[in-house]
Amino acid sequence: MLLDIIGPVIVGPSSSHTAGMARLGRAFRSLFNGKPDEVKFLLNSPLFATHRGHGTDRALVGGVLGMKESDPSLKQALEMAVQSGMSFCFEESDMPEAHPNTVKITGQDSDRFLSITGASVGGGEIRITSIDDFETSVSGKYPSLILLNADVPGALAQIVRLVSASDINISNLLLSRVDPYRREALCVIELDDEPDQDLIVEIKKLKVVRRVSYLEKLDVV
Amino acid sequence: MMTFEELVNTSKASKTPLHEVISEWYMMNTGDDPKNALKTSLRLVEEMFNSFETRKSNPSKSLTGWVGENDQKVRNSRPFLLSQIVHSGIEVALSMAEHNASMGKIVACPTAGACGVVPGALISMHKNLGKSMEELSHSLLVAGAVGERIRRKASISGAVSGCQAEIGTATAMASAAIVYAVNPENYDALVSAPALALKSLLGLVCDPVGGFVEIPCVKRNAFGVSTAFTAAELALAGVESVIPFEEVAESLGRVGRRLPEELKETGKGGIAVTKTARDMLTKFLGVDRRR
Repeated sequence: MLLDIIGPVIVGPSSSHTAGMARLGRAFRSLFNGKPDEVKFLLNSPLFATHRGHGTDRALVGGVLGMKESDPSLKQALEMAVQSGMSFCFEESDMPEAHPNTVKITGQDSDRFLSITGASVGGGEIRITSIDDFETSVSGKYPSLILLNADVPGALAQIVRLVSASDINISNLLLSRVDPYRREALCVIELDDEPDQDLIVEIKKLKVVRRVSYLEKLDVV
Repeated sequence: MMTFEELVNTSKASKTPLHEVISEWYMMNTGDDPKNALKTSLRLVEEMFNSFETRKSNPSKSLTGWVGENDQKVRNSRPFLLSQIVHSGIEVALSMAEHNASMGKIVACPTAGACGVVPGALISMHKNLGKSMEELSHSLLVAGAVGERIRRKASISGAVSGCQAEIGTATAMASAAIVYAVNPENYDALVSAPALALKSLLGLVCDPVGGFVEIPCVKRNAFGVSTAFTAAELALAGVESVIPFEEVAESLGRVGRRLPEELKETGKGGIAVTKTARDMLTKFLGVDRRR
């Protein structure tokens, strides 16, 4: 980007309907930590109406295959998915409360299942609004740790201490209670640098942490 | 936050080339090294040239099949009426816009739908005026400052302000880029050209058939580049814009807010609801369902 106005370099025809969608697909791949065997895309009605003409279908599938929004092979993504043995489908879903360009992506393989919801909010930028039905708000502009932790005193301190010990600066942090009954909270930690695998393993070992997802930085190209 | 006129005045008063003033201004806004702005600009110019070359060797149709052959028609014809520089400009603009519609790789400038206008001006000046890549990268920085000011004063999104914000902004950007390449020290022309360009496109609605970035978007890129050359020609001849650029940009925002929703990228107004457009869409969606 130049002066926030020229760029990004993307595959057309639309930064919201194509580039942002490739990025949402890539976010799914990163959180799933690989390629699923099956993936289903539920598109909000306005998005569904134009999805073929904008190549939204190809962009989403290409993203899940790991292609960036500047990769011209996005155009052949559907054929490439079939070749790689990944099955996919698109369905319409009316989400009147959500951003018009919202998509819910669910995918699985023999031992994993993941569902994320996100919106393409303009200029190729995205916002992930839920992960496995936990509400969140993640942009993918930073390497991000998304944790479900016990809603008890000192939980955040234990997590942050580990991040601090790895000498990585926290750029943004959001902690919110998601379930007062089960005493669970969701913690989103956006980092300045990529954490190494050890940090994620150490955080997973904490008793107060119930699950950890990692979203890589989805570079602006 | 400096206005575009203030940036030009600073350049004049300090005898510093405008693109350097802009890269310093960029540094103050982002904390980034000003050299990075110049490097990024050159890389983006190269990306534009790459897109154009790729398109020429890969002339595929759009996903709907509605557009994709206009650029070749212009490429294969000699100018009947226009000068060679404007003719090349519209050829490049159509090429970029059709490349975009067929899922080619482009530089959004300022948006994907308006991606042909600025490269149309730059690549044509390279071919016809012998401008170097480096000179063009300086022009692109000037274009960037124009676009950035419109973004701050109004919007660059068709869904928010109509096509005036997309093709309109791109045309204003291109007009300043042309003036800067022809005469970087014609300060009056630098501030007048984008104002003249933007005034001529104020009120332009966003009414794409089916909501796709194809009709009328592709051809509007060609009109954008020819308007940019006209605005630059007027400004270089000494024609001044009575209304200053920043005030025109404010008006764009005002007009955009008053435009009804059906004329802001919803595909529910303007040419999108003509009989022909509806028939085309029904046919496309019918074929689509059977796939």
